[in-house]
Order: sequence, then structure tokens, then C-alpha cells
Amino acid sequence: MDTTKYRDLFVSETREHLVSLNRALLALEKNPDDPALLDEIFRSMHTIKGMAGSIGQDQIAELAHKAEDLLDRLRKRQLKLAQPQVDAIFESIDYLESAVAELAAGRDPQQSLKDKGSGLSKKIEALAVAPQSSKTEASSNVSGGNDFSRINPLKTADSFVYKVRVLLEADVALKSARAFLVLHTMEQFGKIAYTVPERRDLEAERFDRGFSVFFVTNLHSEKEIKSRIGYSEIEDIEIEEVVEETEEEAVERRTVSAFTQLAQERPREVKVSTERLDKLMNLVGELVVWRERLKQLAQMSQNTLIQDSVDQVAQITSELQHQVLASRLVAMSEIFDRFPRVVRDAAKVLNKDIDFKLEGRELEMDRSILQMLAEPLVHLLRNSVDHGMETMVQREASGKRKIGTVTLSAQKVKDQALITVEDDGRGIDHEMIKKKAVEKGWATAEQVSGLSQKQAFDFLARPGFSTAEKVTEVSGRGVGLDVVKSRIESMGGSISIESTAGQGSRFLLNVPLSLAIIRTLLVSARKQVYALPMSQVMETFELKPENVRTLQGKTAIVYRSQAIPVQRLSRALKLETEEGILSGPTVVLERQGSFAAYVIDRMVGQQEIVVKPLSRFLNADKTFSGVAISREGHPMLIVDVNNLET
Amino acid sequence: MTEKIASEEKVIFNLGSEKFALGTEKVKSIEEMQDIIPVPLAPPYVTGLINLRGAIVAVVDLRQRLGLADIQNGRDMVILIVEHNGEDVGLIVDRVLSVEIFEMKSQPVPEAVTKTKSGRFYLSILGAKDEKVVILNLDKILALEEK
Amino acid sequence: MGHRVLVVDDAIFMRTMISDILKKGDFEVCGEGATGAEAVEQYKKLKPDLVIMDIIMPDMGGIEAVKAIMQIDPNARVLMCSAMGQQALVVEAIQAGARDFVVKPFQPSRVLEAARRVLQIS
Repeated sequence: MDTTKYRDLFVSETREHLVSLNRALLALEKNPDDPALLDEIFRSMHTIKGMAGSIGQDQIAELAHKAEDLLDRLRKRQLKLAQPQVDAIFESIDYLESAVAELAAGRDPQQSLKDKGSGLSKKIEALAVAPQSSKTEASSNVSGGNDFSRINPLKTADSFVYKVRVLLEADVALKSARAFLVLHTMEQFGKIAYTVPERRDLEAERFDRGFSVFFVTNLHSEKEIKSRIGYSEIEDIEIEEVVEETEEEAVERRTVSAFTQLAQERPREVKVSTERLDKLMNLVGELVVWRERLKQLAQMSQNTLIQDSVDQVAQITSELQHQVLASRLVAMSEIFDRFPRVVRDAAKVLNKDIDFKLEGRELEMDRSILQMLAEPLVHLLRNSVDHGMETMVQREASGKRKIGTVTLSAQKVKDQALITVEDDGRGIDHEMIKKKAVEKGWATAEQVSGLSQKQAFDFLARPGFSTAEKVTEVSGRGVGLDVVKSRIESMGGSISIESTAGQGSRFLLNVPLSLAIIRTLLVSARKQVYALPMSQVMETFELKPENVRTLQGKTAIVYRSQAIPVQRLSRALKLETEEGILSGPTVVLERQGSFAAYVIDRMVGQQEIVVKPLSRFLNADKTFSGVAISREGHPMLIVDVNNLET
Repeated sequence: MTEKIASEEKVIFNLGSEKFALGTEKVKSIEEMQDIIPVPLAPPYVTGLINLRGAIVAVVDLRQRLGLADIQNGRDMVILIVEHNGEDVGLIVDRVLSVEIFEMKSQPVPEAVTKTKSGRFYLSILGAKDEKVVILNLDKILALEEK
Repeated sequence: MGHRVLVVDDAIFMRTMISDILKKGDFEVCGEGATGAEAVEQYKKLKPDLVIMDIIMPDMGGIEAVKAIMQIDPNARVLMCSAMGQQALVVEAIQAGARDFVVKPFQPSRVLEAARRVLQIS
């Protein structure tokens, strides 16, 4: 059975359960005697089992069922909780995660993950071996109850009641007309009490492929009924006679499976696809651009009536933008809750014992920023466990607590999120970094001696700091930090590092809470407008030809008593090769602690822009970090100053 | 049932005088030619970016991608918006001719042709001689090449 | 010999295509029509086993033609052809007496399956 609509629900609900499973299981590992945790894990598994069974994912259901059995025995204290069981349940969670990912990608895990699933099921079954076997009930069916108040009035002395389930073919066109044809045909030889989904939903195509008809007829032959409604483009018809349920059955029905509840409940909150949110964001971005244009025109018109109306529209647009941005907010917990697992696994491999603390799970930020943050954070956490934390032996030797602490926290500072990854590990010796920077030829011994600790740590995030074949304790902290840094900066954020040798390190990330709306300076080069992030623009001035020197064959100017490279922006963008005489409007840009100047054609102005990602065709050399829409409605490239040629 | 007869709807278009086709299921919309903002340092066959109702879409010069002669046509040029790997991409074509349902068997591309510059982007060929229509392989056309 | 089918569509292209599909499926195309009025005329004359008819045609539309044909022969078997998005018209045609429908663009197997179902041959 392929039920896409349910599949999406299944994917999102199961993911939520997997997050809480992970959290509860981690907690259980620390407090093995907490019965509430076991209950929670058991319930989540049970729900997943029911949902999976309902959409025909038998393999997931089977695994969840086996895990549930195991948990049930642990719960009833027929088995004692031990590491192999915890690991096996972790393993099942991993399997379920990948199975759900397969489903979400439109593949069938029963095919792609077949062997893995069945192997795991057997493993768990073996672990669950206990004296007496507990009940093994079949997974609940999503049939719902039969509403006899609607059936009984149609019954006569010689009529029979059937539930007819019709499953249309997968790619059937005009579904509701097809459903109508079936119902129309059935009405030729009986009466329809009701349908599930309701008839109006069938007419409005609010159903997937299957529907059920509660049907009263004088025909008493399932075969005959089937052949009468056997139309084309119908995959399957199931017919069962329906008898009024007993009180006992009614009670059972009330314990509806979580899945049915899910599908039928009218939630207060509506799930909106991220795609739709992005579309809304695009439209609002467009609207804001036109609002600006309209404002200009209104001003030019000098007509106060028009101006007043435009002001009104402008206000509503701002409010709309605000609301759309707010609707994109999600809690940090969405990604934070995955991290305890990341830290646990990394620590386990390295045989370290780490107490992981999470703070600020409830802080809300834009969904797309949060998604971009996940990877850098995983990297920083792994780095902390891997390179930051000493081994247990080393910790004991230096008089520290054997168990190390890693803390991930998020808090709101002004309109930004401050996210810190902190550990009480060995810390970073800034003198060592300075030494290495000199070795690399990035600075002279005199230069580094005057640098603050903070400036010294900036070297850590330079590409190439940790390219050493053998990653040492110091250089290890720099691994991938350049990538983390450029990722954070592309989001309009910044990263800084604090550390005290012997006591620990702290990585501080400042990122915008709301979708990348950044202030930019618009400049033109070769008739095209480019946006430069204001945060990296140091200065603008009119360059005079006599101020340009040539040092080692490269043009340079003196800026803050320091020689910095200068060239035309159009040349850095490979739009021309000729240099000619350098003069005219010039911007000085800051790039990872150093400066470079670019001569432009013209300053266009300043604008707040909504950053959109760049098509993957154009992402290859990272000269641009994104794209936005100009006031005139044209695409406008945002220069990634850090990757611009000097 | 008889042997398989592919009856598929295709958008037929010109690049120069040759006829090419893509399945209608791949084409999301046909847009008028508009200002395309060039992107420095982009691959040569990427013309630039357009603003498509608030979404920014990269536009590929299909003629250049296929290595065909560069004839300026201009007037009837349109942009076909296709979806590829979850991203919308525009393809510039010289002229859209028709949308037709084909009900004939397509032939494989002759091996000699697959080795030509443009032939590697061909999926199959419908019809023969003057009425020949080349069905393009979108995945190959929009695959990123290693530098 | 196969069942006799009357094919009605205002586009020659579609008629040719449907006829080809039917012939390959062992049906006999006994007549063709381009309008609803022609369909009714041909039906009287040919008494086919099955009519395959487009839902939108100039002159007399498909739905009126179904009604007219049902008047002549309450047991007439009519299979409608419809394009995507014509849900309401299809429902109307079924109410008028059409037995089934297929949706353009056609898959030959779907046309044949529907034709066989309507004629209750397997």
C-alpha cells in the first residue's frame, strides 16, 4: 500500500518520537531504575509500531514490536536492564531513523534496508528471551468504529450490511470522479449509509487512494457485489459483512490507535511544509521590495493622498513580514535534542566519560538558520569531545574531576542568538598558536607578540592551520574550524574563541535569530549591482591615482599605516583582465582580520536584503554567499568577501 | 496486451533548425524572455539569474550547453522552467513549437552520435529524417561537471 | 471477431490514436464521428457494442450525446474520454448514463482495460 499523505504524517510523527526516544534512553542509561523513563520509551515504541503497521511498513512494525516486547519485559522486571539491551535499543532507533529517512525520500525501506531490519529484529528478540511469553497482539487496525446510527435506518428485513473498501490504482486521474462512478454504480443495487472519508471529502478529492463504503443491499453475495463494481483503474476491492458490535467491541474501539487519532484530530496547530514557508518568505520579500519602490514613487508624486495610502500599505507589509518571520520560528530543541546522542557516541568511542549539559532548548529561531547551524554545532561538539577533553587518566593526573563537562547553551542577546560550546578540557595555549602562526609565515614574531589572546585564536579558524598530517592536541582544535567559520559568516554571524590553558575552551557563535536580513552596501561593477555585507565594509573613499603603489608587482595602498592590496572589483570577479589606472570610488573590506581594497564603478546605496541561497550551479567557487532581490526587482549577488580574490 | 507503446506528452522546441523535446512532466512553465543577470565566474553555459515571482532561478543556455552553433534568434526565445533535484532551473530555447502526444516507439541514439559533443545529452530519437525529434536527457544536461 | 466500437472525438488525431489502440486490442472500429450529433446518428445506424466518446465537442457535446443515446437504447454502453480537470463534467456524464471514463493523455492499457470492463469481457 502506498499512502503518501499518511506517509508524510508518519514520517514527521515518528521523527518526533525518535527524538524523545533518544532523550529518554540517554536518561535511562544514567538512571536505570527510573520506571517512568522505561514507560515513556515503551509507549513511544508502541506508537511507532501501530503507525507503521497502519501504513503497511511491516518491517518497521516488526522491529518496533520486538523492541516493545523487550521493553515490556524490562518494565515488568522479568529482565534486568543491561548495556547490551540499551545498545540494541539505540541501534533500533538508528535503524528507525534511517528507515524514516528512506521513506521521506520516497524509497521503500522494506527494500533498501531489508537485511538490516530483519537482522536487528532477531537480535532484539534474542535479547528479550525471558521465562514466560507475554501477549503478542496483532497491531491495531485503522478501521475506526462502525456508525450504526447511520446504518440502521436503511436496513430492511432482507438486507445485508457490507463494508466495501475500494483501493484505486496509484496514479489514477480524476480520483473523485472515479469514486463517484463507484458510488453511483453501488446505488443502482443498494443504499449507501456513509463513506469513510465522508462523501463531501471524496467529492473534493480529500482522500488518498482508498475509501470505505458502508453499504446496505439485498444482494447476499460478496462476489456478485465485487463484480458489479469492478471498474477500471481500481486496484483492489475488499468486502466484509458488518454486524453490529457488542459492548465489548465498543470499548476496544475507544482505545483507538494513536495513528487514527492523528489522522482524525483537528489540531490547533497546523503543520505547514517548509517549502510553503519558503514560498511565503519569497513573496513577502518581493512585497517589501515593491513597497520600497512604491514609497519612492509616492514621494515623487507629492500627492499626500497617495502618500498616506502607501504609508498604510507599508505598515501592513511590515507587520506581514514580521508575522511570516515569526511563523518560521522553531525551538532550538529541534536540533539540540539530537546532540546528547552525538556527544555520547563520540565519548564512547574515545572511552571518555562526559557529562553533557544543554541550556536554552526553548529559544526560538528561524528554521532555515537553525538547519544551517546543525552541522557546525556537531562539528564543534565532536571537536570538544575529541580534542578538547583529556583522557580520564590525564584528568585525574591533573587533579580534575574524572568526568568531563561539555555544555551547549543558547540565549538571546539583543536580536541575536548567542550559542556557546564550552568544555572543561585542556584548553588552548595561545602562545602555541602564535608560534604556529609564525611557523606558517602568517605573521612575524614581532607582530604576534602584540596580539591579544582573542586575535591569536583567530588563527585557529584560518584555512590551513590544521593541515598537519598528524593532528596534534593543539592543532586538532582547528580541524574544520575554517569551514565552521565560513558557514557561520555566510549566515551573517560571527564566531570567537576563548580559552584558558588547562581549564577549558569556549566557542561563541553569534547568529541572527531571524532569517538572514542583512544590511548591505550596494556597489556596481561593469553595470551590475553587487551587495557587500555591511559588517565587512570598513571604509569607502575616493581613490586618487597618486596614492596607489606597486609592491612586488601588485598594486597596493596604505590603510591604517599598513600596505593593503587594491584592485578593481570587476577584475577580482574576472570580468576584465586589464588593470588601467586605479582611481575612483573604493571600498575597504575586512576579511578574516586582514584588509583589501576594491575600486568600484559607483556606490549605489544601502539596503537591507533577505539572503536567499544560490543555485548549486553557481556555488562552485564560493565567490558569492547568496543572492537577493534588488529594489528594481532584479536578482543581486551577495559577495562573499572572505573568498574574494585579493 | 500489445507490446509497449510509449504514449507520452512532449514539449517540442527548436534550437536552431533542429527539433528537441522534453517530457511535459518535466516542464513546470514556459516564461517569456526577460533580463538575465549574469553571474561572474559561473560555468559558460549558465547565462545568469532571473527573478521568477520572488524566487531566484538560474538560467542555462541550452544551445551553448549542447555545443550548438550560436545563432542569435531573439524574438521567439523563451525560458522553459524545469525542476531538477528539487531546484528550479531555466532553459533558454529558440522557439517552442508544440505540445504533442507521441505514440510511437523511440529509437536509441546511434552510438556514433552519442560520442559527439551534443550527442551525449540525447536520451532517444523519435521519427526520422526531416521529422526527427531528439529527446533530451535532462539529468545529463544539468549534471554538475567536475572542474 | 471483436466487439464493434464507435469512436467519437472532434480531433482526428485522437480518433486515430484511439482506433489504433482498439485495433491492437482486438476490437473492431465500426464507425467514427466528430460531433455529438454525428455520434447519435451513427449509433442509430450502427448499433455498436460500445461508444468511446470525448466529453467536450462542438455542435452537440458529449454529455448531451450520452443522454440522447440512452434515450435510443437504455442499455447502451458509453465510455467517456476526458482531460484532466474535467471532474464535474465526468460526474455529469456518469449521471447521464456513461459506464466509465478514461483520462487523457491516454495510456493504451487503460483504454483497453476500461473498454473490456464496460463490455464485461476479461
